[in-house]
Amino acid sequence: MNEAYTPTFHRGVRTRFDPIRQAWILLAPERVWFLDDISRAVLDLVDGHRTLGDITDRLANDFDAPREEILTDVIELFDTFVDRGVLAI
Amino acid sequence: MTDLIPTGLLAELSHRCPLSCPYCSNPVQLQRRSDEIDTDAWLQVFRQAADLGVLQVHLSGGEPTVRDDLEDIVRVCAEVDLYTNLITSGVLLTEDRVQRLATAGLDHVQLSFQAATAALSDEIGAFKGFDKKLATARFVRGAGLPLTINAVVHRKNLHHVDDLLDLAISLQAERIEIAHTQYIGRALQNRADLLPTWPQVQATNDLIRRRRKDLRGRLLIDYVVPDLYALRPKACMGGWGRELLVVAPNGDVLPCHGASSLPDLPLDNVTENSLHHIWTSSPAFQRFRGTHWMPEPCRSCDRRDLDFGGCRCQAFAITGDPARTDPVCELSPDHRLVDRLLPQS
Repeated sequence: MNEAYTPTFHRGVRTRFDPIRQAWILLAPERVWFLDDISRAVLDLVDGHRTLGDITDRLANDFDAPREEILTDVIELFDTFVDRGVLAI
Repeated sequence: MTDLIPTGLLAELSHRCPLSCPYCSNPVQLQRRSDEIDTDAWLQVFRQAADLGVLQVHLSGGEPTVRDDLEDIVRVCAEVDLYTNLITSGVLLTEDRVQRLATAGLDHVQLSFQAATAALSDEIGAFKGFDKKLATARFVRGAGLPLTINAVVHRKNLHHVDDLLDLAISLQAERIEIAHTQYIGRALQNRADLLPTWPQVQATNDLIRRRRKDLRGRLLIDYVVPDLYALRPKACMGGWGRELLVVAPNGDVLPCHGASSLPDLPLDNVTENSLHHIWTSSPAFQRFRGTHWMPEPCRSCDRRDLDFGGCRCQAFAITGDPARTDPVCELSPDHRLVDRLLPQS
């Protein structure tokens, strides 16, 4: 996985706010995850056009954080979601 | 009472099904059409489920498409923001109906195959339906819906796993579930024909590991190992009464789809009680919820909050007592009963 990777959700994947648990959730076929604020901020930027590099730039800017640190976190997160069948390669 | 909020609801809309698979997880005593609750009762179930915090509903059976109110059910589920999953054999679906279900708001289809070839698939399901399944997969993709291929595996079709993965790819599925048979109910009765040997299981585990690496990001492989060969039990249903409700065709509500096999488990019904009341207070859901009911060695085990003592139905099927430790656990005093079930390899 590198900065040129363009993350795309597989079909059937979506997020929504759950008013009962007061939490953001990620829904995929037959699976559910609860999202923390960081995962949500990253996944919100997945639109099928932005590259991993673009997303990292944006987060580094929005959170005023060192780009290298953000990059490591974003790669780890995307790797996890590829393993879970949420993001396509 | 409980603070737990369920995430899923498995709706067994009907026990009717054109297939007769020898490992079917429905109760050995199937409910009849005349026992089934009507459309309004089901719609009330789904509205109450959403209020309770359920996020996903699994429309299953039997074969759920035998019900002609499936479109209405999907529409109401979508209205209350439930993620809808149709679990089907695919043999009764037409292109029009798949399109109508998609328009109603269906989110996902899980389509079963009994093997990778028509001859074996039709033999196992005792129904000539393989070609119909292929057509249904195309209808699903044509309607823009995500597709999971499901294959329950056992000794008769374990050599098809590699081809099943290729089949899933050719059908443009995003996901395949290769699940070893759970040996309770019908499958336990038929285990002599179904249970693979340990070397066969190991070879399949290796194959899955290899192909997972190649298919990463393209096809997700969910693989369920046969727990008769495991050293520790599965957290069945994510723990009794923790994540899932099952509603049977007649409206009975169960903590797992096998629980109707358990003795002395009075079931509440959606036509008499609200889903909220049943989830929080019914004796069936309280019976094995949490850890208070556990015998040793579970009670003092550091895995008690991970596997919740394993599967109650398996404990009952093998030991005769649903409150025993799941005998597949090697720490169970009944573990030798599992060894006796295994074929000699």
